Amino acid sequence: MAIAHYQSEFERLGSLLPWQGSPQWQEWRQSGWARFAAQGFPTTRHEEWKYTSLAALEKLALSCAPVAAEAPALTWDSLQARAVLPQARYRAVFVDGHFAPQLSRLDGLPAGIAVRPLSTLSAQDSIGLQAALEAVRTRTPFAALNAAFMAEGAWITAAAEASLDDPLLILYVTTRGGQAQHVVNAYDLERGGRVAVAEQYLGLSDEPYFVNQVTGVQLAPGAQLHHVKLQQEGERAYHIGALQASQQGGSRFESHSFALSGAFGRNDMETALLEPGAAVVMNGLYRVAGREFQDFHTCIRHESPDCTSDEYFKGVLDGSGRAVFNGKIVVAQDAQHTASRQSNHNLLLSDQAEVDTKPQLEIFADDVKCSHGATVGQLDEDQWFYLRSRGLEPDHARTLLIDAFSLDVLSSIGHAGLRAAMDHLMRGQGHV
Amino acid sequence: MSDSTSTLEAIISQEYQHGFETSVEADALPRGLSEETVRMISAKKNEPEFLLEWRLAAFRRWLDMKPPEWASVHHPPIDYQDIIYYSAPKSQKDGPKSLDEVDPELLKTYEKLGIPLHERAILAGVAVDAVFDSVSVATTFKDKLAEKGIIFCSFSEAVQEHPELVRQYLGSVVPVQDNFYAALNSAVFSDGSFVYIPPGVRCPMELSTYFRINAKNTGQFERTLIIADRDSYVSYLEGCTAPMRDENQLHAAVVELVALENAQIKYSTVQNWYPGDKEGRGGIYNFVTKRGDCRGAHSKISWTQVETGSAITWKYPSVILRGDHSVGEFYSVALTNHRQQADTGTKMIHMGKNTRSTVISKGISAGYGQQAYRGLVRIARAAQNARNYTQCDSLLLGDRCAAHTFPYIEVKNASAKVEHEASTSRIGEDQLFFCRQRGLSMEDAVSMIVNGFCKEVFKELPMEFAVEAQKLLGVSLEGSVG
Repeated sequence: MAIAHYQSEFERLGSLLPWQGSPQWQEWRQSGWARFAAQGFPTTRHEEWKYTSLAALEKLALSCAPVAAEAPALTWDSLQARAVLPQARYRAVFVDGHFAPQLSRLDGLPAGIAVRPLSTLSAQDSIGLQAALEAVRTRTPFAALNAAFMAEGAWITAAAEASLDDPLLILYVTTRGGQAQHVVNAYDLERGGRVAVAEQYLGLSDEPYFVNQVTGVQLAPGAQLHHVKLQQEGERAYHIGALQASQQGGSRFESHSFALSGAFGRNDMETALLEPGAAVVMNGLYRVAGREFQDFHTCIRHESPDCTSDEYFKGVLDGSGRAVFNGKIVVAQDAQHTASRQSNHNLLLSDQAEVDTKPQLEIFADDVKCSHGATVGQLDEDQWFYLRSRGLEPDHARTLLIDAFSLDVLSSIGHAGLRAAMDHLMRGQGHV
Repeated sequence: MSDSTSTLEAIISQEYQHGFETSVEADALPRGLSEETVRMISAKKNEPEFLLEWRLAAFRRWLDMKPPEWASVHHPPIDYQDIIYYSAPKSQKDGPKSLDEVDPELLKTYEKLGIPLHERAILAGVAVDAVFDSVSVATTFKDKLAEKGIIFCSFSEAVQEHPELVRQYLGSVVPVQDNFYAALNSAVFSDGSFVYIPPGVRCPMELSTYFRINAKNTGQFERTLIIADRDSYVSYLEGCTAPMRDENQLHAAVVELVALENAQIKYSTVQNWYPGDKEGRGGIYNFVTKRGDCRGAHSKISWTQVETGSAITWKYPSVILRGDHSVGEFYSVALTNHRQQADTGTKMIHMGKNTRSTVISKGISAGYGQQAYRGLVRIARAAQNARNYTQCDSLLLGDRCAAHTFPYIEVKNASAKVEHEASTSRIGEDQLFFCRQRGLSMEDAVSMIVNGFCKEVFKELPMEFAVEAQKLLGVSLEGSVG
C-alpha cells in the first residue's frame, strides 16, 4: 500500500520537483526511487529495525508535494520564543518544507561562508551538492526516498580557514498535517573551516505529518563542525533522519542530538574517521512520554589509525514511551591507536516505559582502547529521600533529579554559544 | 613489544596436543537423515513410543527450518545428508558391568588425555559418566549416589528406567522448535547424561562427564537433562577433547537444566575440541543450545565455561529467571586462535520478581581468531526489582584478530537496574613493563597478565577444573600459570 502511494506521488510530482532539466538530478531521483521501491518499508524482521515498527507510518497517505498552497501567516516574532537561538544573527527558516525568506536573515555572513537554500540554486549550481549527499543517500531506505523527493534544505559551505562562530539557526517549522517533507542539509567545510549550527525541527501541528531529512557532512583536514540537532515535533509527527559524515585528518565533528518530542523519531547517524587525527563527539538525549517513540542508531567507523571518538547518549522514559539505542563502533584492521568510548544511560520513570539498548563493538585491530557501557535504572532512592527530607515537594524533587540526570549531556557541548542556548531551552522547558 | 609478540606467536602457534584417533569398531548407521533414520535410532535404543513421536515431531519441524545466519561466523554450508547420525562402539554391545570390562582401547584414550578414569574417579572423588562417541561406556560411584536417591546415568538408561521423569522434563526448557540445531538434536540425539537430584539432597560430589568425538564423520548429538528438585544442590562438570582430523565435524548438543524451588545448579564446561589446523582446515563445529530454567522461587543456575577449542563455536548458555528471587550467572572465558571463530554469550530472561543475574565474559583473540560476544538481557514487564550486571572484556593478541560485542538490553520495568560494561584492549605495555622491571621473564609476564584477565571466571570453576582450564587456555607457559 505504502509503496504504491509513494509510487503514485513520485509519478505525480515528477515534473514539479526542482532541477528537472538536469540529467544528473533525474538520474539521482530515479536511482533513489528504485532503491526505496526495491527495499520497501523495513519491517521488524530487519535487524536494524528489530524494535522499530513503521506500520503506522506506512498506513498514512501523505502528500509529498513541494508546492505550498498558501503561505502560512507566521512572523519571526511569533517563532522567536520557541527558537533555540532566539537572538541568532544568522537564520534560515523553512515553513512546511519551503524556504521563508521573510523569516530568515542570511546577510552579512563572514567571508568564505555561504548558506544557500536549495530553492535558490540553479540546476547547474546545485550539482556540487551531490558530492556532499552521495554517501548518505544509500544509508537507509528513507534516505533513498529522500533522494527521490528532495526539494528543499540548506547547503552550508566554508572556504579554507573561513569561520562561522556565531551559530547559525536552521529552523524547520511544520504548521500543517498530512504532508511528507523531504529536506536535506549539507555541510561542506574546506581545510580549517569552522561552522557552528543548530538545526531545529519544530512542529506546530497536532495532525500527523512526516519529516524525512538527511544530512551530509564533509570535513576537510582541520575543519570543525559544531552541530546541534533538536527535534520538537508535533505530538503525532514522524521524524526520520539520516546523517553521514566523512572526516579527514585532524577534523573535528561535534554532534549533539536532542529528541524531545514527536510521536515517532528515528535517527541513523554515521561518521567515518578516514585519516589520522580525526575526532568525533556524538552525544544525545532522548525523552519520551505518553506513547512516544525515539530510536537512535549510530555508527562510528574508525578507518584510520590515531582517531578518537566519544559517544554519550542519555534517555529519560516516562508514560508508555519507548526508546531504542543502537550504538555501533567499528575499528577497521590496522586502525591502531584508536581510542573510543561509548556510553548509554537510561532513566525509566514508569512501569509502562520500555528501552531496548545495544551498544555494539566490532574491532579488527589490536592496539586499541575501546570501551562501552550501558545502564538502565530509575531515580535513586537515597537522593530522593535526601531531597524530600529537606522539604522539597515530590514534583520538585523529581524534576531536580531528572534534570540532574539529563542535563549533563549539555556540559559536553564544546561551543559556548550553543551550550548556553541549549541550556536555556532545556531549563526553561522543565522536565519530561 | 616485539619480544612479547614473538613469544605470543610461539604460544599461539602450538599444535593441538590431543590429536590422535582410537580405532574401535563402530556400529554405525549409513549416512543421511530421513524419517527412517530417526525411527532406526529410536529402535536401536529401544525407546518408548512417546519419545519416538517426540523425535518425529522435532524432525518434521526441522525440515521447515533454516540454519541461522545472524551469527558472525563463516563456514561452508553443511550437508546434513552427509553425516552419520548414529555410531556406537561395537564392544559396548554386551554392556560393561565395571571398568574392567570396558574396552582397554577406550581406557587408553582417556589415559592419553591425562585423565585416567579410575584414578580420577578414586582420587578426585568424581563420578564420571564418560560419553565415548554416542554411548556411555562407564559410570562410577553410582551406588554412592544411589544411596542418596540421586539418579546419574546415561540418557538412554534414564529413558528405560525413569521414563516418567524424561517425559515430564525433556524439551520443557528447550522446546523442539527452539532453533535449527536444537530441532536437529531433538530428532536424532543419540545419548547424553541425565541427572535427577531429589528434594533436600545436596549432591556429595562433583558430577562429571567427558565427551569425546571419535569415530570419523559422526555428528554428535548429545542430550543432557539435569533436574534439581526442591532444596537440592548439584555441581556438574563437562569436559571435552577430541582427536585431530581433517574433516569438519558437526556437534549440536542440547543441555537443559531445571531448578525447582530453592535448588541450585552449577554447570561448568571446559571445551577443547579440535580447532582445526593453522590454516583453519578441519576442526569441530560446535553449535550448542544450553538453557537453564529457574522454575522455582529462590533457585539459582550458574554457567561457567572455558572455551578454547572448536573451529566454530555457536553457544549461548541462558537462564530463564522465572521464579521470584531466582539468580542466574554466566562466567565465560573464550579463546580464539589461528582461524577459530566463536560467537558466544548468554541470555538472561528476567520474569520473576527480585531476580538477579551476573554476566562476566572474557574473550581472548589471537592470530586470525574471530570472536563475538552476543548477549541478551531482557527484563519483562512483571519482573519487579530485577538486577543485572554485565561485563564483557576482550583481549587482543595480534593485529589480524577481531573482537565484537553485541549486547541486547531490553527493559520493560522501571524498577530494573541493568548495567553493561565492555572494554577491548591489548596487553598493556605498562603492565608488561611493570612485570619485566620486577624481573619476570616475558613469558611469565604475559601468562600472568592473561591469567589475571581471566581470574574472575577461573575462580568460579570447581578446583578439579581450574588447573586444567588454565592449561587449556593455550597461553599457559610451561606450567608457570597459576
